Amino acid sequence: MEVLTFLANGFSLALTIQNLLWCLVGVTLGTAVGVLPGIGPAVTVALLLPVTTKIDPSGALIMFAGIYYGAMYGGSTTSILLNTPGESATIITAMEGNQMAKRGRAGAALSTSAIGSFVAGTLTVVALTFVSPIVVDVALRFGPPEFFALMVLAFITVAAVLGASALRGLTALFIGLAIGLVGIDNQSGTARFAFEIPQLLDGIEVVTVAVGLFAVGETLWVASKEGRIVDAMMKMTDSIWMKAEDWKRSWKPWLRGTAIGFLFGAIPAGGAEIPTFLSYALEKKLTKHPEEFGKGAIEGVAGPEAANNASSTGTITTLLALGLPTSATAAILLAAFQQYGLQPGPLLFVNSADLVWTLIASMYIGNVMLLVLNLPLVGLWVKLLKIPKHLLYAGILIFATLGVYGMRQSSFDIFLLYAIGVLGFLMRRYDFPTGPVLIGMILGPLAEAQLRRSLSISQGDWMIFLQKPLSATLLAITVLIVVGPWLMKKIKKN
Amino acid sequence: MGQPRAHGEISGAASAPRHAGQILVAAGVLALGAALAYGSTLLPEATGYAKVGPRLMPTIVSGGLILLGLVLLKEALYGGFSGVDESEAAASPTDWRAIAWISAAIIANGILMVPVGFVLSGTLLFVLAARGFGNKAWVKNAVIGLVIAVVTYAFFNYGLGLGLPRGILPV
Repeated sequence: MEVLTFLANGFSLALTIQNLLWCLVGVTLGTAVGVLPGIGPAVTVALLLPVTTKIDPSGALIMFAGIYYGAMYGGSTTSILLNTPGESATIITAMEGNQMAKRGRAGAALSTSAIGSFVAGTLTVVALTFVSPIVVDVALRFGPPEFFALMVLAFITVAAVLGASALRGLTALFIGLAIGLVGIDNQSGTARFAFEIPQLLDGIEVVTVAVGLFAVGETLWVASKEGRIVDAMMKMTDSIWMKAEDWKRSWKPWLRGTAIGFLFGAIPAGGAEIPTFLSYALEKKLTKHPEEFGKGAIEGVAGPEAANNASSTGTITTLLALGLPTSATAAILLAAFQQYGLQPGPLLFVNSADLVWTLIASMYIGNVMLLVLNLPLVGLWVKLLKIPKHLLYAGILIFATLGVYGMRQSSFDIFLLYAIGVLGFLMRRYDFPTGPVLIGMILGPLAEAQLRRSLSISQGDWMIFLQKPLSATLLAITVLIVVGPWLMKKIKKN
Repeated sequence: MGQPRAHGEISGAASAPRHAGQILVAAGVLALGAALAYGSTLLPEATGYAKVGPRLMPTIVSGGLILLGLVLLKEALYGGFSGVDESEAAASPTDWRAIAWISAAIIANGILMVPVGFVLSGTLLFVLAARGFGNKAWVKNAVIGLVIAVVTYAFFNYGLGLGLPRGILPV
């Protein structure tokens, strides 16, 4: 087995003291920002992008990936104890887990989500290990038209499926695409929409957009509603260790949630929200205790928690093997690779095999660390929730300006940060999803390159996308996703 | 959704008021699309054998934004954005004073970062932002902000060599 040789090599590189430390820092930070409201994995990775100039790629990427999947563990703690999701993928946990906490079962809820996350995290890294080489083999045969079609599919599913309205999701995506246009065009050297401002000629930094939309926008929003939303924190009164009955009711939902989460994370259908909803619906159907659902059924926590963790690994699989980011955090991870001049995708497995396999091996290790951090040490994280809001958000703003200024030593970026923060606030107010902005901004220039490459191969003939069977199929699926729901509604009406 | 409004002004005014904010948002998207469309026309067309050049993508994006802006405008004018509950927003009004404090905090930070330095401008940012959340313990917040700013400055500047501005402080 060639894969096992690669993986063994990955472990030998991941098990150095230095890489273990980066992994520990990553998963610890990930858990912390998963627990804290107002700051998530996307912002955290974005704020840490400046460190890429100082540390080697494997260390930085191990840490960034750890932040991503670590946040999935931490998010459940906030949802269960506070009923405000610390992270958007934990909305379901906030419903069912908080009900468990209200009935004095907070310990069991925290436990089933931590162990469920571990089961999901570990199984999906195994899947990643064996699935990604197969995907890479297929993708190595892709040409520009196939890649372009795949990116269009990713754009549309991410924008049209996430959030309450496909219209607002698409608007967010196009705003992101517009932001991605600013700066010097890579292929022709033409300056676009830069107005001769030097900072704009270099393009708008990912950090500024991510931190502006998520951290500054969120701070403005929470401050504008302060005192009107009251959070009541639950106390953990029962033991953190699950009873035999809880294990019996949890293990199947864990496995089912894992399967759903990985599949949805891996296909470019975007986000961890949908698999958690599906897993919840499935458990509700299969349970022997339907009367408990909505009042704190352990299956309703176990399944979705496994699903959201599994989806983060699925997303990493797609990012590594195809170069497609299907969540906001994955988009920033892609930006991190680009900082090192690396481009995720099939060629990464060929050209930087050591790096890829070290990263994958680190994910096995990180999940073990996370189990320890989130089960025996859960009490520590609960203390984070006691930080008063005004100190928490004021502190987040210091880090926000630090990260944004530090990226290229320019005060201009702080003003830009504020402008994008206002945009984030407005998007929140009118219920536009913010993730697609980031995906559009980062994936947009890559899609443009594939589009122009395709058209120069075909000498300007757009039919090239329909002549290649794979790209034609992908585009057909895209059209179905956009038109399908609308068509169904029309048919139902008549 | 296009609810029939048969009773004209009376029920129209009561059940589906037009939201100025939503109309402005839709207009903003339209304006962005129009500006991009105009900007695209200034870009050079394809050069040489490439057939397509730097103008193609901006044209597609601007077209998309204009189209989306129009549909948003239609939603805003007829019944409001689907799924956005304006009565909920009206029930918890926005605290504009809080937003003003936080805006002041970030803008002041942008102005002061280079001349005054990261530590002091960061402390001011912290104090103003905390005030935005309604906390008036100025001295206590200043001390906490100063500690956070010094620690992060030391870590990022000396640990990672990030090159944050020293400003008026000696180190």
